[in-house]
Amino acid sequence: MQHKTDIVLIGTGLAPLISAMGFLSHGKQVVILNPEKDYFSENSEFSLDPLNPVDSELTIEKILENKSADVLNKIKPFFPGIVEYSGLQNTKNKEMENFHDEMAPHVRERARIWVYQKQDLKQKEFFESLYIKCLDNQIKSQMLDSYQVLKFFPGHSGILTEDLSGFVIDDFCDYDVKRFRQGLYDFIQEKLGPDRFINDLSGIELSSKGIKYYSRTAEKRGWSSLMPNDGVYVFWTPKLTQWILKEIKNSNSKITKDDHLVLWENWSLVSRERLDHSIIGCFEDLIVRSEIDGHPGYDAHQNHYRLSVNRPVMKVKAEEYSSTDLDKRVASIESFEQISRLCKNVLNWEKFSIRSFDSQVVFKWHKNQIESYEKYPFPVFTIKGCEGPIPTVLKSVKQVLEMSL
Amino acid sequence: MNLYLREGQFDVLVLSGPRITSWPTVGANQISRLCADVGLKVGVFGGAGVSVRGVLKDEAAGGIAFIEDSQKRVHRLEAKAIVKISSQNHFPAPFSGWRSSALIPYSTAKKLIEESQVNWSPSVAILGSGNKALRLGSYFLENGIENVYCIEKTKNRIDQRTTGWEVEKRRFNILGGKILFVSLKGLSKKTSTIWELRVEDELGVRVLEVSRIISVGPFYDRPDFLEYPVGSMLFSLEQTASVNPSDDIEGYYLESERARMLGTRIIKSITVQAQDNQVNKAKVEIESKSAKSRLKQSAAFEEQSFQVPFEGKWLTPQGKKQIQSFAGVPQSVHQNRLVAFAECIEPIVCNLCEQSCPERAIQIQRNPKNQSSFLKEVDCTACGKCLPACPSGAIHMGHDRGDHLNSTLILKQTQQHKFEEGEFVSLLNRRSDLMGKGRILPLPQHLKEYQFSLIAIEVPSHLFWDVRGIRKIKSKYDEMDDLIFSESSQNKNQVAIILENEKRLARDGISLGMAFFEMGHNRLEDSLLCSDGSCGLCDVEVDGVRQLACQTKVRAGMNVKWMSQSDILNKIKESPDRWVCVCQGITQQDIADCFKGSSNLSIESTLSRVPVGQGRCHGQLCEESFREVLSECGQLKQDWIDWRFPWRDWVIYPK
Repeated sequence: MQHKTDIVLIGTGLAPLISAMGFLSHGKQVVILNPEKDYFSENSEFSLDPLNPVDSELTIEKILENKSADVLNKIKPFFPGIVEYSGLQNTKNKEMENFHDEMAPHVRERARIWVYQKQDLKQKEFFESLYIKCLDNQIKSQMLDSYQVLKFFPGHSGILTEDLSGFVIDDFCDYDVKRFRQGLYDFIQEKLGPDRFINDLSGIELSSKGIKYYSRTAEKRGWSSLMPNDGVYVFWTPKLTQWILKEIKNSNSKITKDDHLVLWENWSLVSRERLDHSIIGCFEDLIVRSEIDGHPGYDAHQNHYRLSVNRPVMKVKAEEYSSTDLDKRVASIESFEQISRLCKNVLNWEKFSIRSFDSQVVFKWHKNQIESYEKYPFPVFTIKGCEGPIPTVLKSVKQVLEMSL
Repeated sequence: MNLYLREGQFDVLVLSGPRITSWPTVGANQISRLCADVGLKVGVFGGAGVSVRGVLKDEAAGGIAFIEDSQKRVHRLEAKAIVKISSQNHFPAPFSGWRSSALIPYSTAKKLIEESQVNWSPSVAILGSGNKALRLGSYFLENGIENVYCIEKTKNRIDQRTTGWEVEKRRFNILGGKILFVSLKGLSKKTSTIWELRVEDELGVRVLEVSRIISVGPFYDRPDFLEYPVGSMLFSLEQTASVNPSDDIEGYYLESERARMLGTRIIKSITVQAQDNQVNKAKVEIESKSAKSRLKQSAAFEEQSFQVPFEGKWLTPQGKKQIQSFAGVPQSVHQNRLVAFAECIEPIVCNLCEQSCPERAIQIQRNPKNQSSFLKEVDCTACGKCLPACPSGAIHMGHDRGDHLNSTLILKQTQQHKFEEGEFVSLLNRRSDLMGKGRILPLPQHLKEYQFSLIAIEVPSHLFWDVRGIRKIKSKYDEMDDLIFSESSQNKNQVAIILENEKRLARDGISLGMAFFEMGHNRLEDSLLCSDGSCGLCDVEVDGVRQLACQTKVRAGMNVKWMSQSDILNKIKESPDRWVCVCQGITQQDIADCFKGSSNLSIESTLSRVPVGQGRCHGQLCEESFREVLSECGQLKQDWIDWRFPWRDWVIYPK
């Protein structure tokens, strides 16, 4: 039996969920199809904009895009519940003047410091020029030396061995990706119900008769089909690549030579020192900060001794990507050595403890865009750029909704 | 600055998980042998000097293992298939107050029994009714503990059956143990050494006063081995074998056969492409079928269970006939002379009696239809070797002088009390009901060498088929004897240490964790008593330096302070909530709440909402109870393996 619907969204992560919310609010019937057993297994979202140093993403435009109040305003319309803000000024106060939902997803204002060797003139020149641009754009920033750097870098033991300099800006942000995901997932799942929010699928096929798929869940095992009236939106993440290239042949949806995949490593270390949660540190290609959820001043269950270290390990051309390359590089000797350098040269720890590790692969598209495919009676769109920092995801979703509604 | 890191590639890796005893295990040996025989490159890592830190899943199949050697070099090894040998650690579903220092797992109890002088009196409660639980209970009873309770949950168990063999249940009953089919309600401290365990059955709530509760399990049916995610070629196999096979023949058998089955599965998956492997393929197929059949055999006793049928205290006529017609029981010779009776009616996977018999009078049938022991009564010379060999005490010898008033039984002697010739004893049936009185007889001459392990009793002939155990008749003078002859508890090997600013005596050279148990000061953090310090919970300050109690040896004059407890641990002590994750302070309710409004959450989604197992212990203390809670929430995740990296705290010293 074929079911009818207006919109079919295929993909994982926040983008399909936010899109579904948008379509539902305009009275459209939506079905979400997810091939993975676990909806967020691909882990496509970041909890901050990494400003990937490897990609030379550290520009004044990007810094301006990541001002905490602005990010909060971008996120709020797309989340069905409360989004709390945790500013630097009130991080030390546990009791707020107004009601504060501790369990809501937070956007946290944090400072951000980039640390470099004093002798590195190229870096010095770069940051000095950035400092001037920040001043021109009324972003508070400072150039720091030696002991001033110590004061700021999260996890620093207070002993200076290397001659370091730093550049700090006072208004950056990170956000609770997990809470966003959970909240949106629960909301959309409740809205759509199990018949319209389907995970653990295989064999999704597009044809002129609609979309056919095989459900592997115990309750609904078997083939089903859908006929979307208004279109199919496919959110292109690495795991869907093979399916897209196979199903949507001869379309505009292709991988170009300028499209890349970036492998990120996310390490969690145990800090000997209680961490300053008000700042995000950057050293070479490492992004270092304390792992917290919610409001930093809310002490219950807060572990102020976990240091999160993120590192872009490799960037490969998407058309040349293979999983074996990834295996060779993930948690390789370069990673261990880089972490060791951080701990030894910057933080001045004689040893470091690994608490956990995971990796994620995301696309770095040359151009984030929506491409259409007109072969079927219903339009099929592939959306590039639906992963990464939440504001980037929201931008893609906004384009989808503006185009469709 | 350099970190020594070496790369390697294997077809199959067999890795020791945390808290594995005696590496390589039976299972590890089986898998490596099978895979190496067909030409696969196998690596076996674990044991002293080699520490496996964790595994990263591959995108496709297989993974990368990280191993640290004693020189602190890191080995990064890729493999197409990885097998983790996991330690057994069965914890029940949480109940009120359960996270306390009183409840310890089986592995800790075993270690304390073997290596410590912990006092278990007056009573012990054992959670579980499998063979391990019943044997442990029997051990305590044989060693003078007055009350031992084996507690089995009422639900999920059909007909209130124990999950162990009938012979083990019989031994436990005869020794005076009690099996309770109840649900656990709460645990609270009564005195410094006594805990109150509240249990409930259809008659209401009752309180058991115990010194300790040992969680043995099993609490749910487990598959032979796990693969998670499905198709990932990442497996987990439980270590069920002990160092000595005869300590736990069932566990040894299970691990060995499961490993064979897993090994053949891996070989088939990896070598599917090879064209020149027909000979190996056939061999592997035979091994696989043989392992499957033997595993099925090992579970046969569940389907062909034997419940001793009683009419009051006596066997029913049908029951008696069933026992008398059993193949391990003599049909006629016992009326003329002493002969062995191998009364293990259920088809169990044990052949220790067969191995011990010099005359080959006992031969275990491998016929699937008749798995019972087979006794050639004519060949049996009543040498007595099979009685001590049977760990369950299922074998005895007897001479049924039906026409005389009394007959003779020879039983395995396991109790502490030394029975004297001529002493009167209470006679017990298979259920430990009192049948009457009997007299201790001198052993026949040819059995004199077994005077400490066998005992001969005179029983009324009409009770020959009913009596299977004895108990000392208590007299009013017994308690006085205890007072007069009590041994001094002063141990010459004790040294003085300072514990929390107080002088204490502890045995020199044992681990501090064990010393805490002996002093009665063990903490919740000491529960696992790891052999390798993997849980990382039991830290103490020794002479100003932070160390793990389970890895630090007692020495004279050491100054020990407990680390100040986290808020969460303090909260756990004050509140009787059903705590699941001690490190992160997560209760059963927290986990249940995350399923409200969401159905069919995957395990990864669940973990992102409640970070169970992300604390200091890396899930070693909470993983099993987490599974129980998930099961109770209707989220059956029995196939889940926690592959979160690393497996335990990993400290790296950069060069």
